[in-house]
Amino acid sequence: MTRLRTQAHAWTLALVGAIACLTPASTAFAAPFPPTQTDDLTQTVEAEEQNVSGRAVLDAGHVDVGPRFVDGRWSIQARDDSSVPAVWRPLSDTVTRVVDAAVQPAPDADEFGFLDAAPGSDVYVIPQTEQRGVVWMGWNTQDPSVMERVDRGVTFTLHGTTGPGEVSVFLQNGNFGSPDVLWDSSTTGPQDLWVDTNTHTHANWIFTEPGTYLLDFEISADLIDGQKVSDRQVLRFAVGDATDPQAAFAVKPLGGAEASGAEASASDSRDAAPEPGAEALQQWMLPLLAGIALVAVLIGGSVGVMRSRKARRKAHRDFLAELEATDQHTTAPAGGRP
Amino acid sequence: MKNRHRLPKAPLLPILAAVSLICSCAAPVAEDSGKLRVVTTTGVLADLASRVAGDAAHVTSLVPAGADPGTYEPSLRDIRDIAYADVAFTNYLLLEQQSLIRSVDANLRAGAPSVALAEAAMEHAAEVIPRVETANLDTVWLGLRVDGDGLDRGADRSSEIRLKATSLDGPGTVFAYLTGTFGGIEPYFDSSDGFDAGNGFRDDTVVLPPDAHTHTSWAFSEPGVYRLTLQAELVPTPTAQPVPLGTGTLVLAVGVNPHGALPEGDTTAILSAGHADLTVDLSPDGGLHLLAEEDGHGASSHEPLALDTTVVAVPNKALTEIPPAPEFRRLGASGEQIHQLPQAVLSKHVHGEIDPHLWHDVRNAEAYVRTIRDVLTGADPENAAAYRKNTELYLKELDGLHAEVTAIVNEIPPAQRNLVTTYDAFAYLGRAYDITIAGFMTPGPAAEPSLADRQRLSETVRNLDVPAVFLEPQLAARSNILAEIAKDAGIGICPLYSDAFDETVTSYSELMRFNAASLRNCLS
Repeated sequence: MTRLRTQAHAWTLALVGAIACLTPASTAFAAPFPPTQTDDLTQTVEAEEQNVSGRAVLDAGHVDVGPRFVDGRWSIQARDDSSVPAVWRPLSDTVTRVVDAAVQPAPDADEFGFLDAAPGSDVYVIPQTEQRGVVWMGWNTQDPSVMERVDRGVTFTLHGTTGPGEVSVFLQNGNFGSPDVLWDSSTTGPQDLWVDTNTHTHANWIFTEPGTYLLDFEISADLIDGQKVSDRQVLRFAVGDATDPQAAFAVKPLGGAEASGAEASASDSRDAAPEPGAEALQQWMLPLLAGIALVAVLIGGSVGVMRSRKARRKAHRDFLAELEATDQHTTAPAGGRP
Repeated sequence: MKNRHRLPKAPLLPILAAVSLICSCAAPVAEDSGKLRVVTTTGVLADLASRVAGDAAHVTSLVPAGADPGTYEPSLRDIRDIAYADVAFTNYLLLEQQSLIRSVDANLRAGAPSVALAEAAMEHAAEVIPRVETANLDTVWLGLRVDGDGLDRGADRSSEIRLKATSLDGPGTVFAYLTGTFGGIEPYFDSSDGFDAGNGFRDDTVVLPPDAHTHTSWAFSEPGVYRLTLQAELVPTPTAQPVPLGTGTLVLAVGVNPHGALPEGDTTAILSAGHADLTVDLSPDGGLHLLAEEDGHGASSHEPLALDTTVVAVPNKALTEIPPAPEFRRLGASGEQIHQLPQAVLSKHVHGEIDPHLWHDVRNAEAYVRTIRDVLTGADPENAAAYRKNTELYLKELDGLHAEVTAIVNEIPPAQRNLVTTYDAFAYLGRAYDITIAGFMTPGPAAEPSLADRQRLSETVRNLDVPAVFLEPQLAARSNILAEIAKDAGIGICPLYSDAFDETVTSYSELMRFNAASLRNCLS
């Protein structure tokens, strides 16, 4: 199993954190978008769907993970369609429970080698087609403001997983091809998946052992206005009837997303409530920090650039001289250009 | 200066933006003579840039006329041109050979803007098409759906809706099925063993709950037009009498021209892309119809389409070999080619790359031109007025060109606008001027055609009865499998330019006009 980890160096992190402070101010938009009635064939995500907090264990019905703007901040949420109407929940408040009814024997075929499960052994399966009694987990990019503001699509990145067994997520395309593996816990390094806006997808999720699993996910995107946004959160699974889903709330990722947080431009506002004083301080300090960060970037950036430009200029002059020298001994290839 | 395709991870953007701002403010460093020097990768880009530049700047193309940017390796002279340039324009990573892009990056002086036009032009409303990675997923995705909760018909969440196939008229077998998590096959409809009214069509019935949706693969053993008759009923509770919900006939044009599937004048819609669902509508005046969503970005519609006037097009790129698994013996022997719509559940373009051939839509070329104007103005503000004036004049010309190309293509009857080419380079032409991309040998020059590719293309030419295939002139000299297929079929081979000029076609406008005329002359 890959460990959750933070890849950024401390100093970059600090700088990035400072820049991240800029984002809320600049992503805030004056008026809410008019409610858009945009349908995928399978579902409609309404602009006015509520965000709720409070811990929830989702063990049946339809759940989608996806990006949403919460108070103007890009944020990974879980859309819980088991309540009517559907609500969106913060991942930190949500544990997805995979019950024993989800157990299937692992297949005996080379093309399923990526599962890392002995043929015939019990594996826990959330299928891409809904199975009654088993939670049906997918993802969507159908929040109206996401569809409105994102340029073409978003990138889902799995940074790492923790848990007692292996996790893999794959598709069956029904085109006689092999299973299309999207994420696999035995692969090291970040695993990216491009997801077009206004799409809704269900894949197969396989867990090879019962227990608590944490998946460190990031969703990032380029907005139409040129901004980049990203959020990084932990998706929690309690696999097997014998696994206490409440315990999964308590498991801390090892140095992962929730610990670092700073990589995300929209981060912790809805995690465990900070002390009121701290919250007030943060609000108050935002513009100041933003200003400091901007100045720091400009100064730091321009000094570095000027130095390197000078050096590169000289190198470039040397390079041109060298080229001219070479050119005298070389017949330039025939052009035939327009 | 936008320089987007090389930007690393997200958080660095503000820094790089600041850096490039500083660079471009200090940019025009006239090292010797006066004129701004612009280098482009391809001839098409050089032509667009030189029309904006006029006399104010000097424009050079790295890839010479007649050469393929996908394979062209930069020469020493190119390196020198790059090194002396003040501005560089490339198209997009997937078009040019990577070593060419790398040469531009490595040799351009510090501070000189390098702009990938396919991406930068999006800010001037260029319309991009995502690159399709798996051709046999690039079809309509035909699922099954129950629309509505049926509360006013006595249904609840545990009610059943039964959708039954009752008869088939067509040249071969239809098999609709679902592929499960571990590859297991769940048959929905199967015509190979008939439809048995005696057991209530038990073996050709799909059971769905209200408000449900399922993806479905559809396989067809032979090309031709299929008419599959279906009926739907609601079973509100296990002991209640089934409520009939209507019947209808689904029409599919498999491999053949969908325009001819219904009697002349009867067709109101042809579904060839995006999601569509064969839908049981539980509302009081419901019944069976198709719900379709155009494959586009942002805009999606939700319109019921009548079964008897809609044709579902199964293109020849859906040709696939039957796998060895015994479940598929009903379709034919392992290795035989059949048409299949996939149940695909994720987008067919999973890497988020774009098709780089934007200029085959003249409106995209206009977005390129506006981008070039902005970049040249930024690098050489003294000549801003000249660049603006040149651009205005050229955009007027391009507006006229767009109208002209549209008019020429409109002379071709819609049913005959089937384009078969060597490479997948004409998606923009197809979308902008309403031409069906009926087939191509391989996605691009990087892929060698396989025997299966050849069979698929032969069958495309035969099924659609196309009068000609189209070949890029610089490929005509070499032995080409597409040309062989055309000769075997006794049909024409006509020229179509993609990204390189020659003696005949020396400008972008000439290229577009030539292509439109070639299409009209060979397809009408």
